[in-house]
Amino acid sequence: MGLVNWRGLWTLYEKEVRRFLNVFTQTLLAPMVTTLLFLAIFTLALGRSVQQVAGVSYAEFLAPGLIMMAMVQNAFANTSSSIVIAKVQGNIVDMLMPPLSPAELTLGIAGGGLSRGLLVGLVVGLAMWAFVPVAIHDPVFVLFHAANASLMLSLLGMVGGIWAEKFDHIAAVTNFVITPLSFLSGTFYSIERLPEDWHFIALFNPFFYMIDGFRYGFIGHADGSLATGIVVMLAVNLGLWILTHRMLATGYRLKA
Amino acid sequence: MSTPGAPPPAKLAEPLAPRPVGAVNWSGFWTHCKRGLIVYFHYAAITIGGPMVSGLLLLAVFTISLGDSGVAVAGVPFTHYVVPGIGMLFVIYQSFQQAAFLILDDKLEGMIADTLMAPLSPLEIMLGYALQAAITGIVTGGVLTLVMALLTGTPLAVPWAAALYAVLGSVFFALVGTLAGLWAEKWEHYSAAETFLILPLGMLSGAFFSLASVPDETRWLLFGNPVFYMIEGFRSGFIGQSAASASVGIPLLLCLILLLWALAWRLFAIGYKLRP
Repeated sequence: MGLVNWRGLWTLYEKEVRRFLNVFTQTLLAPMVTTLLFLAIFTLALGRSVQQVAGVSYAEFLAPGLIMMAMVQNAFANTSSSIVIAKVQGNIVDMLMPPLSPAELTLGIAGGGLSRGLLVGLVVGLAMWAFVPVAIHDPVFVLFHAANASLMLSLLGMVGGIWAEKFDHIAAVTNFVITPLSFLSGTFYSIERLPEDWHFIALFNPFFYMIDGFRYGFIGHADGSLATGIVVMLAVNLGLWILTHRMLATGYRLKA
Repeated sequence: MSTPGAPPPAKLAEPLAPRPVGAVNWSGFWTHCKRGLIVYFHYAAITIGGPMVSGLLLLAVFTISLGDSGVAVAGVPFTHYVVPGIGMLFVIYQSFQQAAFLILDDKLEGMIADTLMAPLSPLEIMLGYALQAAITGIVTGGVLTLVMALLTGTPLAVPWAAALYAVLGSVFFALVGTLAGLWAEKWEHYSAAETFLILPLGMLSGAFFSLASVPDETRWLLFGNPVFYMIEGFRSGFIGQSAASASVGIPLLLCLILLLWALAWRLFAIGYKLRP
């Protein structure tokens, strides 16, 4: 075996991808339906009172936010459920026993979540395109934030999955941390809507930067600083990568 | 044979006679109901806390998105309009999930045999599953609605109407959940029913938007959706007015409940997907 166990890494990645493709109605079609329903109710409920946001129609403003929300929720669900189910069922040993280093484990599992996030984003985006004029202003920002946001939530899902000891724990993290952050960070409204005192919260919230930067890629308008967004995303991902790697290396809640 | 000091052999008991059960096995029925409720309250953080967070988040994003343009819908502030809508959605989602989840879990874990073997009639088994689910729907949705109403100052104009429609909605979807749980053979089926049937029915029902904001040619979607009558009726209990007439809504919902009830009873009686 060389420096990198390429075959093992690919096998792990392939297992993670097949795991969600096998149940694509739950993992790809369900987010598509949910997101389209959100688009429908928000445009029907608010479309007439909120004419313009950031210089575009409300539906055009909302679409990128909803795509991002679907991506992050699914990237998180993929890695966290994979690890928690493997731990509860006991087949986590099949991942820990093979000759895979902590870095290879991190890459393989996070790669699965990243793929799910991007694939969900693509499917949801194409479905939205049928109803809302989605124009791409800057594809580089779209790709950068799609990839970094999916990776960030994949790594967070791994941290959560390793920490959780039963399904309730991970359900609590999803309900009380991930869903609120993805809802309240500018998916549905421009951050200018918030009272002045609340703006500082956005400045320290990576979810705000991923939604804002991703939306900039579509409509060409950002609420915050684009450069700060890029730095924050890269820094948070690096930090989470080191944390995940460390957890796998020490065997925290994985090895006796 | 008897060793000294050992107690004398017990006198042979009378042969076991069948335990008399009246027309209704009340104690068995209540035990059956209670099991689901115990599961529900044990996981209160997920079954009550989860919907609480999701409901309040929906309320928050709607309120913030509207901002100062907070226009009135049907003559009342938007928040007062949307609070009963969100509350009713969680009544029906929880009722559905509780019934379908419990039945499918019992089937997959093999525990359903314990329920089928007990001296309970098919009607008692079916009603037990549905009743406990309806109760959990009313608790989850009721607590959420109460908290949202207190936060937004939504009035409660006609309490009996709110209560009546909460019961109708929860029983309706508890029965739908019972049928879905019977039909499903794996978790994929359960989540498919939830994503492709329950979620669209709930979201496209006028919970968040008024009949007036829907284009004329798509209004039949609302009139054909039973959830529309539940939500409009429940809302009339709060804001005192409704876009759907109660003389259509109540008979319609009662008829549909009767149909679902008869179907679920029949399926339990013939052992559909329960007995080989």
